[in-house]
Amino acid sequence: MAGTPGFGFAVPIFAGTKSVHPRTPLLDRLDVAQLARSIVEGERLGYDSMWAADHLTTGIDGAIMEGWTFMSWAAGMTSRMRIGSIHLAQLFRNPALTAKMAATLDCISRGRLDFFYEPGSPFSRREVEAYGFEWLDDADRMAAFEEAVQIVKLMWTRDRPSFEGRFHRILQAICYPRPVQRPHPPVWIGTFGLLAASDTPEPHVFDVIARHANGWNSTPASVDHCRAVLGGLRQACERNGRDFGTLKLSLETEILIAETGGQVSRLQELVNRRNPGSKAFEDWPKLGETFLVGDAAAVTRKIERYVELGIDRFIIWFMDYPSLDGMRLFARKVMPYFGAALGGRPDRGGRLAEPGR
Amino acid sequence: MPGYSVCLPTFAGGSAFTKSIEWTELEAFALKAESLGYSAVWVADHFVLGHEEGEHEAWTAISALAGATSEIRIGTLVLGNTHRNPALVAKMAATLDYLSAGRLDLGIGAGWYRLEQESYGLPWVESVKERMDRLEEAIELMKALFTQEPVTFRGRFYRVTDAPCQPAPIQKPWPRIWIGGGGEQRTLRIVAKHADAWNIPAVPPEEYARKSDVLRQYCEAVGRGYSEIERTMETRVLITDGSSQADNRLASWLNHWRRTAGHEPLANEDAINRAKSVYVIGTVDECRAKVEAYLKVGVEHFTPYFLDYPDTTSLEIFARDIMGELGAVPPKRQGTLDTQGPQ
Repeated sequence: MAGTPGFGFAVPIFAGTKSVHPRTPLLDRLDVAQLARSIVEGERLGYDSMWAADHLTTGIDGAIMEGWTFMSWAAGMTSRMRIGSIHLAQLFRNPALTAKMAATLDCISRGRLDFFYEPGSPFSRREVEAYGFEWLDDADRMAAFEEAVQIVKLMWTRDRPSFEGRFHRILQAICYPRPVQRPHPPVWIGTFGLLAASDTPEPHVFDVIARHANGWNSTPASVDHCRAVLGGLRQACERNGRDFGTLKLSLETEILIAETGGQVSRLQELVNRRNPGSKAFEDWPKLGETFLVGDAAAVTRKIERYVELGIDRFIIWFMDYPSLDGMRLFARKVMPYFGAALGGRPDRGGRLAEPGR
Repeated sequence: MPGYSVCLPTFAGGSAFTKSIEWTELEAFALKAESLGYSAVWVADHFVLGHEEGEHEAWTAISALAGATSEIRIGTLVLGNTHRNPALVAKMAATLDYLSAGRLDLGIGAGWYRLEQESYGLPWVESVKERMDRLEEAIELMKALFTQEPVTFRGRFYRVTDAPCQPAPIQKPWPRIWIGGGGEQRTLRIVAKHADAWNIPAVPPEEYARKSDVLRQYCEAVGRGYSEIERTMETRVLITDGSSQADNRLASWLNHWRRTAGHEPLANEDAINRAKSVYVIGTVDECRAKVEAYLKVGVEHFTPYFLDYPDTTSLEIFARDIMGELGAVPPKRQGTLDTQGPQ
């Protein structure tokens, strides 16, 4: 948990201007060449990982790359940077096949896969049903998800495993070759930062995390919210006989960073102009609690507060994309402060702490 | 003028000379094929064909190949329709075609390998008719997702509601659709109706001619131009100098698959003769003659596994002395490029 934090970036595979989506507020349309450029440069700049969303109808005109295809394509053009899903939807694919896909990607990428899996949130319902998948209620969805996580890990680590669940099953299933990473690619399971800290955010997902995950993640969240969630996770670990110290902690966040305060303001104005009426960008000071907005010094200070909580991996949406200025500036002026600089520590996979059961 | 592409042995036993499916070797073979002018690389969609010695998942593999290559087409030969939600497959295909600048060949079939599906918890459809019905409905759904915006589709098996499928494929109206199989009751009818290309595992030339006639009749029946469908065939190639080492490997490879299918192994010499009669195996002149025999019955495109993989000897000799001699067309791309697309 302590030590050099890792910085990864989320790849903008959907456009979000015109108030369509707050993750990519300055991206008008998809551009394969710019995506390829950002991936190649991200790796060169020292980002330790890239992450791709897994949705079907997000963005302007519902145009979003299919997540797994995109990650696999990126594996073919990178060699050091880790590749993760943010987050892979359990409902879209048979879990055994998911395990096989992941093993293959881990082999192809020589051990660079970060397996971030999710049960689906209420926001997913529309796309799930649009594509003809069966929606499950909250309790069933979480139960199906927990079964899927178990199946995936069995496929990766056991010889011809079988599993009989309420929703999923395997029968002496073969998954060779094994993933490269041992005992298996890191499994990430996340919570949502949108809920107020005072809500009781999904106690059951805390147990699933304590039981099965190598790492926890939150969607963009304030320091206070993270602190509250970490408290809940500690309790869940105790309940489930898991050493909390073995759980990696990560945060997805959005960053608007520029050289000077003046440039930051101009970018904020641009975001507002391009996203009229967007609730997300109504109140910048409030947004600054969950997003990181400012010059390098301000962003560094904010990140430090999360690092103090124990967060050691950041997954960043750079709000100025398709410009790569923010991404470059962050690498040049913020990452070195945390000891993660050009050529530094891209290799964060490999050895895992087991959930300890 | 025929086309030639390459099936990558992404499962142990795809090659006769190695069981290794190490990825850097597979990628290197694909890049070599690209440099030699082969038009496409293909990956089969199974989970356990290689047993404990392994197999790579098809879509992950071809997507990574798309990222590592720039000219050669990439395809599945063929996706098992029952492995995934076909609406999701359409989205995967649209994305891969978009990312690869229009290089996707989307091969699809009904799915036949019961053991792997049941072991993976995929619902096995016993009825062949239903598997065919599902395949046909899946293709109709995919075509709708490739061309309409958004799509509402209510089929017997599949449904989507107000579903967008963007970004759209680069190839118009869709990535080339390859349908695999030779079943004369139903598969060839579906090929006639829907395929841009038809593929079948190796059969003798006379058999290929006969099945082509059946296809032609179905085309007439459904009102589709027979010449619109590219006629292709999968096979195995091994260009040998007749050494006993190659022969022994060949025999044990053939017997491995015979045992897997529940047949008794053959004595070495019988196995070798069997392999040579079914596949394109022999000296370069013998292989050229076999290819010519297939061209005569209308095969327009060969999709072989090269049995000496990872060695590239057969791959190179085939390109130089057979493709070069008999001519090869540049890879077929579907429709005009969408110039409103990326960049």
